[in-house]
Amino acid sequence: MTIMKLTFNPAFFDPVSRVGAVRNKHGQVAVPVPGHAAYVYSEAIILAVNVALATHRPLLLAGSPGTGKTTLAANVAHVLGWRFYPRVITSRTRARDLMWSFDALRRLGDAQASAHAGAGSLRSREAYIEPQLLWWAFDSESAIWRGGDPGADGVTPAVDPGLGAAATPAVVLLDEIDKAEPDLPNDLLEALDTKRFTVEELDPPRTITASHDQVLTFITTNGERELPAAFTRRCIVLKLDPPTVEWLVSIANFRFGREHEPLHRAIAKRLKVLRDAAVRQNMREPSTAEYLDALAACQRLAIDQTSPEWQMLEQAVLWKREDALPPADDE
Amino acid sequence: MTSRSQVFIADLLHSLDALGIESIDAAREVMRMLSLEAWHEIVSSRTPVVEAADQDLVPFAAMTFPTLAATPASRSSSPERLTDSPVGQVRLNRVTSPGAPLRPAWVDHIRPLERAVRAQSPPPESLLDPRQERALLGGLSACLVYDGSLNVEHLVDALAKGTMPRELPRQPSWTTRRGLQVLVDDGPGMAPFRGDVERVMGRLGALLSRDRLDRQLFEGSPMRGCRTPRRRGIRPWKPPVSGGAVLVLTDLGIAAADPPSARGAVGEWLAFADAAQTAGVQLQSLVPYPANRWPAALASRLHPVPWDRRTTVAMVRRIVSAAAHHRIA
Repeated sequence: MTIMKLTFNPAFFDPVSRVGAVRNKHGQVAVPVPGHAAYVYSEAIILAVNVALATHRPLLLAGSPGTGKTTLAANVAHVLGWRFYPRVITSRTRARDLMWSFDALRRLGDAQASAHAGAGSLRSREAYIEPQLLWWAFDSESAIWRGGDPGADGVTPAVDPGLGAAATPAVVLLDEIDKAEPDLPNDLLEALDTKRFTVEELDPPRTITASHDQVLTFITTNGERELPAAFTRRCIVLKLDPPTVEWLVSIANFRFGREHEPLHRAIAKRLKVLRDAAVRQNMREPSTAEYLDALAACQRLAIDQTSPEWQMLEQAVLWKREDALPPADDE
Repeated sequence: MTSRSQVFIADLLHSLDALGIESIDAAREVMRMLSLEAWHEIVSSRTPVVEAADQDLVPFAAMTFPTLAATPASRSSSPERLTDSPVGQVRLNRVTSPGAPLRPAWVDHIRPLERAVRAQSPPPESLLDPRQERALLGGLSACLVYDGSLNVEHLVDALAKGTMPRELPRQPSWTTRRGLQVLVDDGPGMAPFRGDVERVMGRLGALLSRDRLDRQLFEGSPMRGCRTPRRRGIRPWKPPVSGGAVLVLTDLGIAAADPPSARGAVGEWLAFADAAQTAGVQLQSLVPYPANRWPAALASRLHPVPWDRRTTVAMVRRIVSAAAHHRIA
């Protein structure tokens, strides 16, 4: 990762000041999260998060798999102490699915039961609405009562799926947006740009609004699919470089301790060989998560690169393909 | 300057102020993050990017050019040809200095590549944008089906009007699960693109899984019959039984061929398009020539997609949607 010599005041996001944060000899800052791997920040990443917060725009993270796109959002939420709402986008995800869902079938069933029984099993429309992550991030107060008045007829409070303390601003992660249908980014433009959307199923329709400094949105893409230019223009764009050996070793040292650094470095170098070979063959590159898996296996099973089991572990955890492993002399 | 640029300049100024940015490197980085590449270039151009000694830089007006060598006698050297030349009186010839050897000395020290090294030459680069190749081929492989989840809104709307639909309305969806039949033009016109065909077939196999890929070869047009790569016999083309899409990799008879009859005639292609429509097949094609060279009569029937770096996912989706609705119509 490029070590940038930047001079700025991290007014909105400063992981350096975080308790437990450590700056390594390359100027990168590692912030550990309990139960998770430490995230190693470059100054470019810190700058990008600050710019996104200063301009109230989504941060579009681009880069190949394993460059730390997904874990960045969780770590930023942890550092900021904000709620965290992650969602993995799929080919079937629609923009509305990220705001609210409406259980029309259940309402239809209740309506029929009500008609037959003559009793009031049909509840108010709010009862059939399920707030989704953008609603929770924008306005959790209205999301709890599904857009209706507290204690409305037959409406049970919704459960906030967010991670972190309530009544704080929110970090939203829309992961792998290029897996979605091509129209999805454009469908999200207005909601992300204006921090506002209207729930049309409510009677009357209700507009959900967030103040601009309440939400920080991360969107990740691995470049498989082009994103609309209008969408990209409204985002802060940060391209994360492929992991370097030093970057991987920094993460591993935080996760497993410095006493195993020679092993961390040896496997990081091997990972780089495998990633380069995968790129040449136009195949998926092994990621940082798989590197950490390999280290965890090595540590718990007392295996290193000289062990007879190493090649099998490498094949199973890092290479994951039937064809032969690239030779070591590629290094 | 557009209003959008003004908005982003406001973002830039706000960021520079809020973050106390004073260094030009940090400012450039913020411009790049805001997609203000043009401004980034302006700033960059004000700083020296090449540190050359002053004596290396010669004003253009003071430059001297070597005299062009005598033009060999040929048809192109006649005055008439020079006058007709689109570049006026300029002729480009090899510059020879008196006494300079025609063959550089270093050429004699080059050893030919070993046969084994030559055998490992890299595969051709993708004709499609490599970053979008998967999405583009995914779009070309998908067919439109109405077997998605229940279209509840449609159903409720119908019930609210007191009507009962004859069948449950379903959401339309694009799917690759029905597989793909790929018809590969094996004629002489496609010979320069053999490597590209193999690359596409490899990517499609990885995308769809090989058991969902039905590869057939033809020459001229599929109406002359198809064969599989492992069988020599030619059989009449049959539409895919799975109801999946058909993708044709072809030059549409654009390239010259010897004999000329090896090229598929427009009439044959139109007959094929008719057969596909009759069979209810979603038909699309990938053509390694620009749209202005496609036979006009085929552009609306074979739904060609340019096999080109400038082809976008949106373009593929638009063309494939037209192919799907053509099939349904």
